Amino acid sequence: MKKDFRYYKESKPFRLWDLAVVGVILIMVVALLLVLFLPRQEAAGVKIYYKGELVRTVAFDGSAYPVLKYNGVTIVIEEGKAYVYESTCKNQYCVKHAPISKSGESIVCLPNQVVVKIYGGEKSEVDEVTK
Amino acid sequence: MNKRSFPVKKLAVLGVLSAMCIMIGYLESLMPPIFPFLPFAKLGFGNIVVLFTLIIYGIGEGFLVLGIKCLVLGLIAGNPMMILYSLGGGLLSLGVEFLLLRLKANSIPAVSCAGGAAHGLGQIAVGSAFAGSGAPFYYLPHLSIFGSIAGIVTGIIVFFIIKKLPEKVVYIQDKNENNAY
Repeated sequence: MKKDFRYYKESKPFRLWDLAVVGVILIMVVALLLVLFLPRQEAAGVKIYYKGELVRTVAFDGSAYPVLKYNGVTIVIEEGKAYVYESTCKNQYCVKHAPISKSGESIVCLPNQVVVKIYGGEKSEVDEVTK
Repeated sequence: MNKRSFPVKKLAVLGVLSAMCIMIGYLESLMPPIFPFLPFAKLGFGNIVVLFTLIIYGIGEGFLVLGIKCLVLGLIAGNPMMILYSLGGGLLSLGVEFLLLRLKANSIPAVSCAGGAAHGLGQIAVGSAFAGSGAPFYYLPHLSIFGSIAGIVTGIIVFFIIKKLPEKVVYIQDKNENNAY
């Protein structure tokens, strides 16, 4: 390891091959973004999963939305958006998460195994027609 | 058969490095999240110590410091489940960094950048396995971009630490090897 230490002590902060590393990461991220987010539709409602299974679907239809509670996670749904109001988990990441409103977005509470996800639909087309 | 010795100085140095790692990680866990849409994104300055250990002492020692960091931090700052996420991310990033260091084609910031991106992937993979769905993967693009930027920052810090640190501070005399660290 002595050689390694000397080697890195004299190394430069930037080398040409670094571009390859950054390029590979960028390509992977862009590919991932395309796969995950390109087929984005108008937000049509909220789906709630518990332990990987769909337990509740609430459509954004302008009616009064229920406040839902699954495994200690309280989910508040409003017109076009949803957020976790409170949770029994220790890290509280799901509560700190900003409200989700776009199709494909999700809030995941890993400790309580609850996933809140916005799903897309043909709502926009219907709106176009009714206009 | 050669009996491998474990120098006392190495034990002490690794202990100090682990303690530094835990302290940095703990202070970081007290700070509020940087982005509201990425509540678990942290700059990960603890990885400075891990990457430093990996470069100076090797993969075994790097793994040791990483393991101690994840275990202790998970117990004092988070929930025990967090140990698995951070271990998943940490191990993958350690592996990627080790391979890139072996190739000797990249500078330290770039190695750290790749490690940061890999960290997100490892974490999400473990998270998905536990959530039983692919939903956590929606975090991966943001997490990887943020992770690689954070990796570049930590990599630059490691680069300067190694550049400025005198050799005798990290040098460990090993009876069995002529020029061991």
